[in-house]
Amino acid sequence: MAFLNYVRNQWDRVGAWACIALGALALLLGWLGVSSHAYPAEQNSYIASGGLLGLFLLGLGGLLWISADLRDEWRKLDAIEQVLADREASTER
Amino acid sequence: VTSSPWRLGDLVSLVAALAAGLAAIVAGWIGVSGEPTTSQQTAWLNVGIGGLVVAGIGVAVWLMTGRRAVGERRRHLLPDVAATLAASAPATVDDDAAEALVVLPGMTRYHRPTCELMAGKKAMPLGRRRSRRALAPCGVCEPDPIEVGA
Repeated sequence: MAFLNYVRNQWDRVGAWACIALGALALLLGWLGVSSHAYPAEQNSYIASGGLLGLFLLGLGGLLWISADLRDEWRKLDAIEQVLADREASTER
Repeated sequence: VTSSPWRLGDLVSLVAALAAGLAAIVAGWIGVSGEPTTSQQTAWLNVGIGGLVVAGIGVAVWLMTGRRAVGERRRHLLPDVAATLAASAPATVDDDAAEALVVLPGMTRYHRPTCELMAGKKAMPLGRRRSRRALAPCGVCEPDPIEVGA
């Protein structure tokens, strides 16, 4: 239950780790595919699939992680703005 | 109060860039797999790399937009705290502490007498200075913070 709550609250960071893990796996599979073939024409499809898709997923993971940090900072600024608004309202009374 | 640094248009742009990039990567992959020679595969490989670049541009724009929004809001809500504290500090100097500290005329930081930055310079005791400008502690000798108000 606690894990589900964590996933619900931190969906962006969980998604980031999932993308990073999948990206690393894609890169690994691409590397293994390239290593197991002797001719460049056979290797290229692994570069185009595992290599490029892996980089795409790693970038997506980074995007989700940094976006989560920015959202956290935004929420803190929300709280600060609320405190300032409350203080302003109390001094006007 | 909005709950995100991004607007709907930013999200649409990001999704469009990621979708276009992913489509190009997949198209490149399928294209490369269907060609028998490297010279014929090169064009499809370029399509895939182009897709990665498009997705990367979309990600960069998204993150820069978010950082800019957070930075502008932070500057709006949180003015320069050091300047505010200095401006509101009382115009007093703790005499005992000031005797043990020195300052150079015209400078903005006070130091311990033994500070390396004061070596060979004509420093004067902090309590004797005429200027009433706010001073900050030196970052090298790190004297104890005292009230040196404007």
